[in-house]
Amino acid sequence: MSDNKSFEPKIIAFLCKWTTYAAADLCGVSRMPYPSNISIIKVNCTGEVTADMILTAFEKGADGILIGGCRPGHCRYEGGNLKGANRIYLLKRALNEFGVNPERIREVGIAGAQGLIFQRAAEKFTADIRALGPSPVMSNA
Amino acid sequence: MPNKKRLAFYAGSGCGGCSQSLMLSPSLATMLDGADIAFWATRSGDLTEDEISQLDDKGIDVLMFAGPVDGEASIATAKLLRRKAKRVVAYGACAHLGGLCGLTNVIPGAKLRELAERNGGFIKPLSAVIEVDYVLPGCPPPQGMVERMVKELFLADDVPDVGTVFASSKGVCAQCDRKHLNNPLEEIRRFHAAPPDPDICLLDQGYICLGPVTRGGCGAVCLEANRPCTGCAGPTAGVLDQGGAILQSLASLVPLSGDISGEKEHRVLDSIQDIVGTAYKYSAAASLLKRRVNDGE
Amino acid sequence: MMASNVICLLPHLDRVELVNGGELVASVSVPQAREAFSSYMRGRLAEDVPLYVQRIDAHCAVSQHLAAVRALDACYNASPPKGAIAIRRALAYAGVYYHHLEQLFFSRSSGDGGIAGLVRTDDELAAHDVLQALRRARDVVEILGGRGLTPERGIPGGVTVGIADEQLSRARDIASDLLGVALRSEEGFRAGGARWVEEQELSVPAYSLATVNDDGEASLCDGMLRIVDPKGSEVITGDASQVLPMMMEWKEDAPLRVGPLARLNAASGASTEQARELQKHLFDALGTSPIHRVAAGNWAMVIELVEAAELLSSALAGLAAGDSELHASLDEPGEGVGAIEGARGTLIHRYLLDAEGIVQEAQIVSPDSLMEADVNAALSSLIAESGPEVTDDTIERIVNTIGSYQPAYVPSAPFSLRIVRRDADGRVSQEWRRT
Repeated sequence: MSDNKSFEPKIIAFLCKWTTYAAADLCGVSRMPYPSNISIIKVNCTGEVTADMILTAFEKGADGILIGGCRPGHCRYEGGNLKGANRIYLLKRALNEFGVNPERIREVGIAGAQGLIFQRAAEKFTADIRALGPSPVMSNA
Repeated sequence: MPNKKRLAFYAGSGCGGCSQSLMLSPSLATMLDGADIAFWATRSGDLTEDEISQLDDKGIDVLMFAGPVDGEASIATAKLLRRKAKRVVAYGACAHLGGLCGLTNVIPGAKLRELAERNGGFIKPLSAVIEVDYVLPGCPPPQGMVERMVKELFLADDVPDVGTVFASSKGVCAQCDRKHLNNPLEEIRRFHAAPPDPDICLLDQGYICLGPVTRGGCGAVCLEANRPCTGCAGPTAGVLDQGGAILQSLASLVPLSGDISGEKEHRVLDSIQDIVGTAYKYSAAASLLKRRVNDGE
Repeated sequence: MMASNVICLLPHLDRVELVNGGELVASVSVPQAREAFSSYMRGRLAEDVPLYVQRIDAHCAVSQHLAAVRALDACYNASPPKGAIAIRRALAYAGVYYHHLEQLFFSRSSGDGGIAGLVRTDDELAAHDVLQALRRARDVVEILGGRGLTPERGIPGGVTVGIADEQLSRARDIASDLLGVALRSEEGFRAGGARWVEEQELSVPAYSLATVNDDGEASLCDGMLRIVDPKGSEVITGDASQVLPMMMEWKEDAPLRVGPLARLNAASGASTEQARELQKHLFDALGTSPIHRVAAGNWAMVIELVEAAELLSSALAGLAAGDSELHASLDEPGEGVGAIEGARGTLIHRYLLDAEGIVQEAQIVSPDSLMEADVNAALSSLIAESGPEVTDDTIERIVNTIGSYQPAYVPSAPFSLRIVRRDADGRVSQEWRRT
């Protein structure tokens, strides 16, 4: 898209309070800025992010959705993040059927102490979504 | 006898199933005794805009609207009818959810796009176009739900609360007699290869059934016929996206292998075919995504 | 206005056009939605097909369901076990009964020209009884098909599950009542409608297509397809895939007819005792065989109501509850054609499945499209007879003529009609409506 440079994507991030959310928090207290495009919703576990939550985010105009949980094998809730990952995997197939680029959802697993990694992941995802352009879902309204 | 209620039935298009479901109601005679029929139109040609315009505003007590809404013409008719009616029922899956017609919103195909464009739009649930007071779900609405609507709307003294859905707030599973085993989903089975065991939960056997995410009140008749629920009554109360809800349930039923690559789980999930036709058979147009978009491949 | 809902492939008739410009012509056109249907079905699961197609036309959902199921049998090269075929047949007869009763009493004009008006309803056969019978016919469809208006039991290779004992005996009880209503309807028709049919002289010589059983009698379900010429001589008898090419590239000198009147003409007679007796009245009254008088389609349908009830009773008597062999093993999926003698006429479905049993191509040859030329031939001669003036009588005759064919675009109570006359520039210069 030609006007991608002026396009500021809206990104909703569902972040697990035990890990990726803590990493984002750490960015804040350490003055490590990450793109203001990202709005964070704190969740107990990525396993509790429902299809309704993700699809509603798209419906309301999100251009990208970042899902940040524990690294695989490190979930506080015995695999809640893996269950969540299976859900996202299937949901991406549905998005594809609706013509929505599944790349608009990204999953990351970042430990609470890894502020720098969160900062980079946030920058990278924002840049990638900017390259993809605005989500066409809103135009459905 | 209090004043007779004025009722109307309108189906701008559709297969004719909704009108029959009402006609076959055992309470039809009682309902008609206590009511005047303003019109009973089973296709757009039965009633012109002019004829509708001539009716008094709010002159109809209850309008039952069946069939899908798509382009400008049908939207204009729906809005006009809304003005004429005190209460509007979205009657049947097409008006409630877009119905099977709604799948055309998602199916890629030049011919369909042409058709949709010629009609100036894509399929929408009635509630996306006008305010809907009541919903009678189903494709076509099952007898039990039709009876409930007739009783509450036409035979009772009080009118039901706006927002009433003439179905159960519980899922279809609540009326299903099959034994539930809580089996993990290790393999997706297509039920034509061999009919499933008629006594055990279909999901337990690996067949995709929308019972858990679909409003009940139908008596689970499809399950009794050894067919899975295909979701015609729409999502259970509190769920926005019926398709998303069943996909979520299916994903949760797949057991974690312990292998963090998720390869084994993905194999099971990959074997689910025709995701849209399975998860969104009647509800594609009412889904949160509404229709297929072009997200610049 | 035709909605973009391609599942409703048989769109409603909005107008009959009388085109002014030298010749006066009346025609209905059945929009060809073949491509749209195929693209709608592409990607769907084979076993779901019978659930989609029955919602094309809920007035004869049973026929659509079973035609799809039979085409899928062919796609999988499966031979359903006897028990499954017996359930499907009984379901087919219940479907025809439901359709005919609804058509006769509820879906047609109730004016003086309409059939409900032709069946005397003044004595015992009150509207209440008919509605009750219609509900009970629906109940039989539910018992046999698993769901009232839209059956579910059919799957490629057989049926999903058998029928419980108590349900079966309930269906048998209902069926004998249904036969009673059918016989009374026929009697009522002969008392009122028969003379009306005799008065309607509009006649269109046509080829007749029907499904026949091994004895050459009319079938209301499965069998071989047979076409006879306007004189009644056999042109072809074969299975759907043998007869389909001829139907699709129709080159004969007269149009093709399907439905009750065509069944009367193409077969040696009804397959049941009482219906065969009743047919004699019809042939005696009109004095010809084959019968090409368009209005006779109504009479034929009333007789078929009796036939369907008789067939339903004997099919139910032959059903064994608790039959466990109801499904055959399936071969690798491929292409298949399936035909059923549907309530409205011969109905043919064709599907091409991929190796996974996913639909790649889909096609329906419906009675509506098959009889389009026939309906138009009838309308043309009707207009030629009536002259250029459009009177109430003309409109009434158009309504009754179209109605005599029982096309899917008619079921509406009563069906409306808009007739327009266009000038040379195509603008509407005059308009008549009948609702």
